[in-house]
Amino acid sequence: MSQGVAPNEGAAEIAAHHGQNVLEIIDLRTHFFTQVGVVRAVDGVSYSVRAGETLGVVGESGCGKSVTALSVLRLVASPPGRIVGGAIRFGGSNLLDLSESEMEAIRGNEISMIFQEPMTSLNPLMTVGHQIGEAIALHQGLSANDAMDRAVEMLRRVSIPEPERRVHAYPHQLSGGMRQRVMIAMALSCNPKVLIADEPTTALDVTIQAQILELMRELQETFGTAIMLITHDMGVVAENADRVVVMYAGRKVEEADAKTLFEAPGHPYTRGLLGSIPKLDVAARLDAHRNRLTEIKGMVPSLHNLPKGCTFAPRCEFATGQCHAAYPPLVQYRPGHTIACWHAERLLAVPL
Amino acid sequence: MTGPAATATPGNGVQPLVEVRDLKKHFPILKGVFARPAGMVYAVDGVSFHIDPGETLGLVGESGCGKSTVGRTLLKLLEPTAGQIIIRGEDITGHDQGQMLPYRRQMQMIYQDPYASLNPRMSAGEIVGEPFAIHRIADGAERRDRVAALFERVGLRPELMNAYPHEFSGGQRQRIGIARALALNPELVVGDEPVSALDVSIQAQIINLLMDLQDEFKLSYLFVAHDLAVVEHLSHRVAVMYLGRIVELTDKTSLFDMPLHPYTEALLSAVPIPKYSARSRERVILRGDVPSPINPPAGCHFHERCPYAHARCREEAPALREVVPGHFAACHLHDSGVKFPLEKPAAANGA
Repeated sequence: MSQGVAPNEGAAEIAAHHGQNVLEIIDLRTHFFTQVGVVRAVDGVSYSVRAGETLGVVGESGCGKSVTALSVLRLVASPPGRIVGGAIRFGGSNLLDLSESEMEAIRGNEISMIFQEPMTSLNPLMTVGHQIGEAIALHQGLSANDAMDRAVEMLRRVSIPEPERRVHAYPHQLSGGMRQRVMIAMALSCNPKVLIADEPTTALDVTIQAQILELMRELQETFGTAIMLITHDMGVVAENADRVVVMYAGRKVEEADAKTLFEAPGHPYTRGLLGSIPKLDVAARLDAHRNRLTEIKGMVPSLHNLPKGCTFAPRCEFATGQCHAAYPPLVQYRPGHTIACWHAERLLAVPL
Repeated sequence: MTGPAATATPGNGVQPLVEVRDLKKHFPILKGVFARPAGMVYAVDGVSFHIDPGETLGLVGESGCGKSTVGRTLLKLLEPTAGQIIIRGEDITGHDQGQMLPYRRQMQMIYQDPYASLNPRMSAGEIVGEPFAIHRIADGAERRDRVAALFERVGLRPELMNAYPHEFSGGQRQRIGIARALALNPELVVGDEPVSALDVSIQAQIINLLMDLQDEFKLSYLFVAHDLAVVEHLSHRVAVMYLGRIVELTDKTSLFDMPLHPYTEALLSAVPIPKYSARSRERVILRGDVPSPINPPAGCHFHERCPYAHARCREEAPALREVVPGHFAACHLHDSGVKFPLEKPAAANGA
């Protein structure tokens, strides 16, 4: 029973390569061909995930952050979706060139994913032990008994009380937080190099969210897994990510280390986003009159009818003629700090 | 002993708009063909508070704590099991539908999901104008003008009056819901998670709108939400609920600076703050899940997860008491005066 989930035998190797890219997304284009036209959900996005780090990917609904993740695992529903361009480099190959069976050997094994709503991603007719064991048996060729022992061990790793008993439970018998722990146990059961977490705590209460985020930090330290943390919650990113990618309307608009992104952001969208969130410590200080939040006027453009030029320009207070005429290139303004804005240099000079 | 009713009696001499005293709402769990009661959900289990004119009281808590049920029961959309609801000094607890009608005009609600709370077969203009029809107030051209004025006030173009809900974005639908709530010039608006389904940039627009409307129309809000940062931003005072009871109630600055209930302390420390410097702060991480309101733990409902719990907490439910003037908390730790920061009971443990 003590198969022992040894911390990834590659953990030392990962540590030695800490900071090297394990996953590279290059100029990815994922479009949806619908009756109302082509929806450019992801339109030329590039970013990399480095060994052992947590990369935060933030943006509002429809910005393409989840579609990017699904594209990495080639899980975009087709039709209507199709990856129409770009490359995804992982372990020396381009995932977009692999056959379906080659992809199956990677999914849930070398790259795994956890989703927002664990109830819809767990099979309600199978015990959680069976579901965790299934992935282990498939990818690691263990017998059913050994796989079940390993499942118990994984449940213990994610701090589920009485794992020997809970391994026989069905998903509906567990609370939301417990189900998300099961999802994490399943995702980490094969020691993946990359874990994609898509809004992993959005459906949970804050005290449970704090438990799950702490668990993810602990497991990352033990296993050395690189985490791609996709979320709309800037607070979750600020407290967990090493680096951050900000997306807007299908494109990456800014990328920086977490400290820079939160203390000296350059893109007007990032700055607007940070200004529009009520902050607990500030809110408590406000007098009876309460300050107004900084608004980003208007709304996200529809993806099949994007404005010409910079897609953020219609909502941007700094927009000029140049912005409405042409989309700005992504430029590295400081080491590791990339921004797609014609006025970035000027904005960087102004403190937040 | 200062009972829970103390919160209902404001010290400043102003007559509160709303007073709620020891409100309870229990839902029977029905089983079998004959729908025999097989148990009880203690959704709201003895809650008292007041709201002053022009004030926002925030009601915060995790799923299942009963915060939405408080909002609905206050508007008598649900019949209270026990307790009193007093509007401007008049007890409306026993009022029937007919007697409630004049009060309905003064008390409105904004819902969380702007997709589910608007009738898809009615145009936006009809939805906002419906309160006028129900209360037979304005007709024809006059109604159209008043609806158009409401549209403008909440930031919608009046041309959109003929559009149907599916033609609007989430933020615009929430504006329609707000316009409908404002139609009859209410005094009290209950917002049940009115911004939690919206993206942050849109959320900021709606929060600002709600604050502007409050100043303009001197509205009182009961703002029900799970997001502590949003609640603190909008509220003057905040009540924290846990499993059907208010565990702490005070002005927002005191709540943040000097949380006197262990649950509030944990909640404040669990909320992620969007600042890089927030990483280094100390966190209290609670063990376990929120227990079910069907079979709540004996004594203090929070004792199973509380890092400070001692023997008495397992047996006796603490009353909500005024620990510091204006600052109420339901916790045995404060029996012998204010304890802040909270300190774990020493040898008394487990006795």
